[in-house]
Amino acid sequence: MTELTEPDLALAARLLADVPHHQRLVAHRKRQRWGSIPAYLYSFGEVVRLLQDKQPALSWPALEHWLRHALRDVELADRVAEIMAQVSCEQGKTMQIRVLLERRLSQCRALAPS
Amino acid sequence: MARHRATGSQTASGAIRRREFLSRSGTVAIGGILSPFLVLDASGDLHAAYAASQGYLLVDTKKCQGCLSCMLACSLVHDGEANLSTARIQVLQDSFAKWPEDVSIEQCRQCATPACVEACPTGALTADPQRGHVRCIDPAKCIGCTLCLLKCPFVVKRLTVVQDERKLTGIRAAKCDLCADAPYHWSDVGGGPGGEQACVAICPVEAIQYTATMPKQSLQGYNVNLRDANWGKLGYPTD
Amino acid sequence: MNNGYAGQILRIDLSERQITTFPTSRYADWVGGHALSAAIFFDLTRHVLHEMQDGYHPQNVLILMTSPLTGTLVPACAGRIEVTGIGVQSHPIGWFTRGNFGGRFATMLKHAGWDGIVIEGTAATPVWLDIRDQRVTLRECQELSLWGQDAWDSQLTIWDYVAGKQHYGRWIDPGGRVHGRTTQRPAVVTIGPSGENVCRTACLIHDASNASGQGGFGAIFGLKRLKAISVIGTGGVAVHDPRALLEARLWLKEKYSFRLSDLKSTDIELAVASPPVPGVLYGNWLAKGPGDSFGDRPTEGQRPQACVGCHAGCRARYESGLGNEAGCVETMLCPDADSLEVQRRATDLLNRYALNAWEMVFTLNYIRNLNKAGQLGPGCVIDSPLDFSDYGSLAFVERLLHMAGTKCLPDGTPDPFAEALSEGAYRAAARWGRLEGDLRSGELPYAHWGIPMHFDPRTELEWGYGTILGDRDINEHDFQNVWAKASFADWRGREPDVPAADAVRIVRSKMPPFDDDPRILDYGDHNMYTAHMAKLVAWHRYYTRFWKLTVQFCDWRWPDFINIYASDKTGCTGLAEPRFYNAVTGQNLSYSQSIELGRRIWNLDHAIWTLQGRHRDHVRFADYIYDVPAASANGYRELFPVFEDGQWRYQTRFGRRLDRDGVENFKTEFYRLQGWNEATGYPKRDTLEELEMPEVADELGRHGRLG
Repeated sequence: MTELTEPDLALAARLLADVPHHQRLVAHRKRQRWGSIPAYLYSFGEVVRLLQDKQPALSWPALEHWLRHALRDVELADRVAEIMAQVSCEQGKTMQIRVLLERRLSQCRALAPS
Repeated sequence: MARHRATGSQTASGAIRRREFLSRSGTVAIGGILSPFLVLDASGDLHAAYAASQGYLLVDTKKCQGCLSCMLACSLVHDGEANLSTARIQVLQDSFAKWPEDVSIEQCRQCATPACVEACPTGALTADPQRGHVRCIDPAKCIGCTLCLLKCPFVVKRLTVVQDERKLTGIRAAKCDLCADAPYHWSDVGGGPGGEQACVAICPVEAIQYTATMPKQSLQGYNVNLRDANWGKLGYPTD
Repeated sequence: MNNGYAGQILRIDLSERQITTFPTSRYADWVGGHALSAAIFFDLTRHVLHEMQDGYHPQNVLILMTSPLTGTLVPACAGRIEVTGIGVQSHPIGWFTRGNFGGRFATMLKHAGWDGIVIEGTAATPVWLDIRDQRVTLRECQELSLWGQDAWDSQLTIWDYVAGKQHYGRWIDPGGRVHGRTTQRPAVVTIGPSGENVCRTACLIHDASNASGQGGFGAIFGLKRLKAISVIGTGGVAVHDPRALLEARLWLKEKYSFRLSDLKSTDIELAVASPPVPGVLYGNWLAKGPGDSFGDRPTEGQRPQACVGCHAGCRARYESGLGNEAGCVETMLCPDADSLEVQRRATDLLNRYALNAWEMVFTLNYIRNLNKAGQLGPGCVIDSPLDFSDYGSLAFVERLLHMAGTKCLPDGTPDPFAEALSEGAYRAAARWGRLEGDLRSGELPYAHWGIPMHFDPRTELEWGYGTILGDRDINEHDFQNVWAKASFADWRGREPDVPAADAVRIVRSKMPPFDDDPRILDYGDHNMYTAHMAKLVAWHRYYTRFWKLTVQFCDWRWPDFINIYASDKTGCTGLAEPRFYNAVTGQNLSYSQSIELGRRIWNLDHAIWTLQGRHRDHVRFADYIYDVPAASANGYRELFPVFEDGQWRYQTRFGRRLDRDGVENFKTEFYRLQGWNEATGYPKRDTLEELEMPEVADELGRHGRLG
């Protein structure tokens, strides 16, 4: 996987901050057989955390849109779109997108550890 | 020095088992090979020697899931009812305690020197040669005095009592016979040494095992690791 | 008796402090569990049912009832008990409802010589019930300072009291009968602070984490000033044919249960074949273990833990003792917690307060969203003292649960916001003037009866219909489990183990008397409101009414439609249930007869709801189910069998809405199938008489509610 460009401080700050209520991302925590509990995500960190869940359920196009427009991380949104187009298996998509977003989160935290 | 009543006659196979036991337990034989037969134990007490049981139950208390199915099966196969109090194997558990101390399994050890047999005043409790020298109670001879129960050396007495209106005391003693005398046994093979034991057959997680080899006469000898790699596949510790 | 019954039922009048008994045989037709409870309930309340709009009614009767299979060796059945009464959770009124729980309580009650307990009246001062075999005593809580203790401490206190000078870890004599002895601890079901404070979200807790949540029966205990019931039994349960029971158990083990030497799955299933692994849902990123199955689980030393008689436990006890015996939604309270340890401690706190886990998960989501929207917080429209600045910490969870479970701030001051929380999010939303709008938007995802949505009625059709036609979230995973396997395979990019056509064929073959309907399992858009769908929903009501609610087969293991260990993948349902039942009872019940008995029980329940005021017009979903499409999600998606273009396929139904007229069509089809009046939903006399319930028809007739 090609390395992500280092984010600038402004982008890192946006990714580490909460988004307002109207920009939250709605997903679900699911398990086979247990039901579906809505997950309301208010930060990039919360999205990463959801993707680390066992069987996260969120709309990839909605995620891409959210990254592009709410967080204005165009590079990350483009990379998510690439994975969506290239990987057919949902489990595979989930894992690759998770790894990608984890990397971005690490970059941001390294820039603004506080 | 205590002098104890010897019980039962010895068979050839019993003698082999007995020699095996003597070599393991460090006792010194001062009697003959034929019954009755006395041994000195490490403290210098004189004991009757018993033919070793030809079967034993081993358990793994770290593996048990606490469903008590073994207890229910035991009482069913012996008494025809599901009864935790009359089960010859006892599983104790504490919902709030930490693993592995939350569960203990107390099964009869078919002791090499069975205090219960020695205590029985009527000869009801014997190392029964007809049943592979398993320590068995003849219900007809038992008078329900519970001396066997009192003399059992373990904290959780391995014997229990069954209500029996025919007895003056209203009860009779019961203990693990490896299902040798199980009126409701499900299988043509039957129970006892070489047969099928209800608790072993029923246990869903294979935390109870039958063995023909006498375990080391200690807690560790009877409480063993039955957790193999398959158990590990389920995310449980195997060490 | 030699048929699985203890033979007597306890009747406790708390107002008069009177303990009486009556023979179970008086209700022999009603088998046990829910059916027997409903029949007793009807007899005791028939003259006041029309005015029982809430569980707080002084003549409400709470019943705990075992089945003839309780306390025996019947797997995933022997350890469960049904709880029945008018609830306080549902809206617009508290319907006659139910819950149940597992563990050791049911077995102990049976072994003490009792099939069930009927609780009436209200104690003047807090009491607890001490059952030791045939010795039954109502005791003051004051003696042990029991009132005020949480749901764990109260059990430990009672354990000590019952042991007296004896010690657990050896044989004890509980003193209930001559020669009575046991190595077991008493089984205690209790309420925590939430029940004492009469919170609608209060549940009953037994041992560390067995809970009866739905209905808010903890609040009923609290209102009646009944803190706990302790039972220890030293007797047994006679079964008709012990050999047959042992053979049946071993048959199940050999043919249909997990095999350690040949594990075909290491993941928990809601089926007979499940391995004994805990159904915890921490979903914590710190807890990833070796392999797909362990992502939710703590990795420390642990054992599986099972209810009495179960062949495959679904919980665990741990080396740290944290989260002992917890599973399912109890472990989902804090998915955003700072650590797995916080999640586990939060789970334990939830059980100590004895709060309804599902309700608390949705309440937390709801109030956090309002907080984020600037609507809820100090000085906001909803003036809330709950500080979200440390959301995710244990301190936050403690404050939340304390407020919801005591109606007070942490310093003990009564607080209106805390009181609103204690009522559950639905009623809180009404207090805050937000109910209608938030139900319309789906911001408050409470799809039916004021209860949080579990599976989505827009996709999981039988679940939603079953719920609105009943009284509570059905929480019956029977079909869901089958479709979930296909969904999981899809997520992993694999073909399903059993193709849709085969799955439908196998499942349908186990659905008498509707097994001749080829469209009964079609979840397609074209079949959402049809007579075929009505049959699916009806069969589900009948099967579960008899086998799960009455006989107490566990929802997490039964039915067994499709089985990965069976040679042709065909599970044992239809064969196994009657085989176990007949071995214990000595009856000769056929599978088809059992489904018909389920129909009878379902009709009795429906008659009770009708007497309470149920009308066809009540039977509807919240607006968002009609107006907002089911969430579109990638990642893990749910598939259902659909018949299209002449073949069965698994398809996702995300994006679907229910149509109001369509749902009305479905109701008409369902009422027609039931023999109920299609305009009102009231039962018809002919139907009730055919089901041998003329006295029920008479009672409905007296209140003008015959169809």
